Amino acid sequence: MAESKVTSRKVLLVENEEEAKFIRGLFEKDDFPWDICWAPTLKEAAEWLRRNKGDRAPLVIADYSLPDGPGLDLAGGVKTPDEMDFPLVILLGDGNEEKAIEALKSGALDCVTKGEKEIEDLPRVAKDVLHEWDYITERREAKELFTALADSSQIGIYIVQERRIRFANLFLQRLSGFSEEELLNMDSLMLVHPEDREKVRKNAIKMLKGERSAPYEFRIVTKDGRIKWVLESVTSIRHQGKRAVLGNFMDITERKEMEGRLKETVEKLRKSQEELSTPVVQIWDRILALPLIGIIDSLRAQDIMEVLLNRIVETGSEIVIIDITGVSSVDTEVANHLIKTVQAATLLGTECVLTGIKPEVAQTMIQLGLNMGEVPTRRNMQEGLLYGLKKLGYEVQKERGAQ
Amino acid sequence: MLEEKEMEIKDEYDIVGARSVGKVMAQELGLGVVDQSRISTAISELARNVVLYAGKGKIHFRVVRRGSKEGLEVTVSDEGPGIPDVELAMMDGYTTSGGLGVGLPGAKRLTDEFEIRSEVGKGTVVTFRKWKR
Amino acid sequence: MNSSLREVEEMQQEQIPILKIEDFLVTSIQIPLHDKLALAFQEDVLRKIEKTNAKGLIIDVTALDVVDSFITRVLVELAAMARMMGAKTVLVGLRPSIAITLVEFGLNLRGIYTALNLEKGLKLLRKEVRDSKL
Repeated sequence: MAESKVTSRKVLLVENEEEAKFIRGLFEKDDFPWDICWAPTLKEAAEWLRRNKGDRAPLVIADYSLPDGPGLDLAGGVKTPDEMDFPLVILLGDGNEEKAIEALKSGALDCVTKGEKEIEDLPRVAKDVLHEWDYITERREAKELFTALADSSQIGIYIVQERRIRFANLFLQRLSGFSEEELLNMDSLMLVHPEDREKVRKNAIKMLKGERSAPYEFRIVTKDGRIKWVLESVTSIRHQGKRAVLGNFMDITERKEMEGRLKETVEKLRKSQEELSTPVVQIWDRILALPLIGIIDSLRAQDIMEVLLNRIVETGSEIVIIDITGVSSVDTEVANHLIKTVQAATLLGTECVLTGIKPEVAQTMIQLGLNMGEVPTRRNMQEGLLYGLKKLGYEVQKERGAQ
Repeated sequence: MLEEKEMEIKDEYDIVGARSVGKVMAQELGLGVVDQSRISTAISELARNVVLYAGKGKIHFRVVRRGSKEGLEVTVSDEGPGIPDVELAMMDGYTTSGGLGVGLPGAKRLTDEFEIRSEVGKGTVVTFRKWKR
Repeated sequence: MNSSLREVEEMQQEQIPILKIEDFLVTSIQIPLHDKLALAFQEDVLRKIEKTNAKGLIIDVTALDVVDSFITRVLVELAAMARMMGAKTVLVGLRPSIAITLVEFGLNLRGIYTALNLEKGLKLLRKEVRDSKL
């Protein structure tokens, strides 16, 4: 609890001259550094307050009835001290309970009756009122700071208590399309897309329990039915004395859209690359040719195998000529992939012919102890085709007289 | 999308059920047809081992994430007799091809990550993961 | 799902249908073959081979989406037994994804011919029968 600074505090007495002199005397006897000012009427008091605006709020001690109006008019019609611009104490001519209640309901922090005993306590009452005023100011400033922060934020901020929204900052209002009135007391999961509600509930609970620290994504549905993606974190707080949840989230809709489009593009690229990198050609009825070119890594080998096998089934091909003339290097890995492909094709009921095995490649394969098994091999594509045609029962003859 | 599921395995029908769940979860994750086949087959093998040797057990499916990778994790566990020599069981050639359910090295080849813990008299736990490429 | 499978199985008084085309038998596996069903299937096939003196058996596995070591054994055994009774076995309609899985797993279909579809399967059997007569 902060200690009141021992600098002088201004006090504005709004009383007639005689009473004011008496009261001033009381304060001067007190050892606190009071700075007493005086105004005899409402009008002059208001004037003074205007002139001294911007300084630390003075304590105003005003008579209930002044020559030109009720002292309570200085309060400006508010109902609680929280709404006041300065702390106010009302002086009553007699111990009228009704007037006292009226004063307290109009923003005054205390009332003192100008009977003998009580009035001498005024300096002490003044100190107590100032304490309370300091406390009110601190709380008010904290709230104003929070709201200013929350409203200027590019982040959605909300408070949920007993499953209802109790606070929703401007960003959230704008993003959701709902007004503050519509959001207040809305069920906390109403904004969340129905399909994501369970997930959000689970993740929020995990985060509040401390079992999860990473923010989680989900969709909200705006007032006009659009879908937005958000990334949220939640934390436990106390709000107006009870447990509540403070949530904050970022709008990641754009990012999600870009991610989606990126994925699509990558997928399209991959597919077309797949087709390019696995050029399966039907060179004859029931004969497929696959001229492999370039580097064949694990991923590509996988794609090649899938594409080839699917094409075999699609075309009903009984012979597949796999030409490896253009393959950069044939090591154990590549050879194993080739063997796998051939075995799988054979399992489907198709015969494979390997062509284009260069001398160095043959050497490597023998040295590595690789056994291409009973896979027939031929020098090149043409010879592979001849083999295939013969297998299918064709007889290949050169026309008489041709070169 | 289903993120997690646990099932009991006690008979042939449960093996089929487990395969289906594995396939569906793999599908939802966006894994291709061949990967779905690999996962179903691995599940079939492991679940069959449970039915054959332990009588009953459990299978646990979980979607897992590592950095930006997503994948399916499957754990098959039982409190059966356990495998006396896991290393031997995991060696190629231990399985007769087209052979009797033991299929562990085969299942390992179908997956990206494969872990097995077994203790005689206590039981066996096999966990495998297949990542989305 | 489990209970409906059991119901289907109990309904299978006729088990898996086996047709006769020319000198051969043709059958299609549409549902998962577990223990009892697999055994019954093998018996049915062998009995029918004997009855019809079939020279070949075509098994359509288009509908199979998982082929594990169990079903591999069932098929390999069936082919071996059929062979002893003078009939060759051809598997047709194997899915590419299954073929890849089988190769990677390390399972092989010993003693079983394969063809892309029924038509090619019949062609293959006709040729085999012709050749064996030479």
